[in-house]
Amino acid sequence: MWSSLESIVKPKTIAEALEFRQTAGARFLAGGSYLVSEQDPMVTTLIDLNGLLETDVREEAAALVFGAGLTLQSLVEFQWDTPGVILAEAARYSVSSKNIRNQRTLGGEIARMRTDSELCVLFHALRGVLHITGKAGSIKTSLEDWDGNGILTHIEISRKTLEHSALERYALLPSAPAFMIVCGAKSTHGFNFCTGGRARNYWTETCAEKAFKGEAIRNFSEAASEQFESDRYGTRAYKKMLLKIAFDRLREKL
Amino acid sequence: MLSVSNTDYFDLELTVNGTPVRRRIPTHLRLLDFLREELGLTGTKEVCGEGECGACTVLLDGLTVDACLIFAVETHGMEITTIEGLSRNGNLTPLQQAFIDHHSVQCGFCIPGMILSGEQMLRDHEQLTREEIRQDLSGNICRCTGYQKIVDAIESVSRDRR
Repeated sequence: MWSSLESIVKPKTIAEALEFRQTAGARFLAGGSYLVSEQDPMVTTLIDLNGLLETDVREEAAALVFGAGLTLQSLVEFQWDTPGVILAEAARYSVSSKNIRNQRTLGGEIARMRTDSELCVLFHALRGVLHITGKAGSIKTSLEDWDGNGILTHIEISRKTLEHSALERYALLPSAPAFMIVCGAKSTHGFNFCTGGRARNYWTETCAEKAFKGEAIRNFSEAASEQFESDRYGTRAYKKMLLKIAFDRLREKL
Repeated sequence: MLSVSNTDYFDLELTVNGTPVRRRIPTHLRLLDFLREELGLTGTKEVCGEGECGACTVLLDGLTVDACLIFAVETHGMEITTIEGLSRNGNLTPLQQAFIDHHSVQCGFCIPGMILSGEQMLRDHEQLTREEIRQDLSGNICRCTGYQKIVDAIESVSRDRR
């Protein structure tokens, strides 16, 4: 029993949902299965967005646009051509339970901004564009720039960037949550990188394709390792070494 | 607009194991509590209560979900299958029989969830490898069997229908 919960509202439109969000103690519920298990005592109202968000993937020009209501299991089962397989892989790694993947949505996963989510790290590297609807209307913004306000309705990525992307992860077991995730993608601006896992924050960087070697890789490993601490998964020096190995592998793959 | 609170009640309509159900329920009732307490379907088990173990697995519109992480009001208009809804006229499904034949049950607490996950994967895939079975069972934890005999049972049903 969630003792602080007073009401569950089901708005008919995004505008109504935004109106409800102004209420103190209100939180959006849309594939955020963690909300129910955490039972945050500060939450008094849940705004059920299920049914308001699109659940499909569509191609627009050179981009893939994902509805925020798409479940993670849909990403796993989607009939991807080769480049999309990395999304299925990232979704499976992000949440190992199929039951939870049937419930959790891409929007819920992105909105939570977990550093230990392979999907979030990958979308950072892909420089995903978020479509946000707020009180002032709809805007497009990057993952890094989104302040968490408004409702995430779509996530857009470049198809070409997706075709040249790669993921490296380190975990105690293949099915265990990764303590280090390193993603890279090749875009028109050069190589984009993002690291996550059991880290204080994401680390992101972009560099020219030709510059991504030797010293740059050593510098990236050093910089990214600052987001990690010595813990039961290993010392910071060990993680710095793993980062270098991951960047070297990404260089081969990209 | 649907707006309900815990001082009010919600008139829930859904289909459970093929039977239409209407109940007036408190809005913040979890699906798990609704099934167990309101409908008496205690085959759906509660263990962790936070989506880790899968003992409360049910089929919601044909997909496996953890009933402990869903509010009953979210299932309005939907179709739920619990372990009680699988057998017909007292006849076990081939998978239920396979669990018996392969001695896949020890304490039995996880088994309703295991069987429902197995039923979904058998329905969704023509053939299943042991690796695919293990991957799809990733949301169901068993602390007794070591999983081998559970995988054996699901694999046998997949193999027998070739």
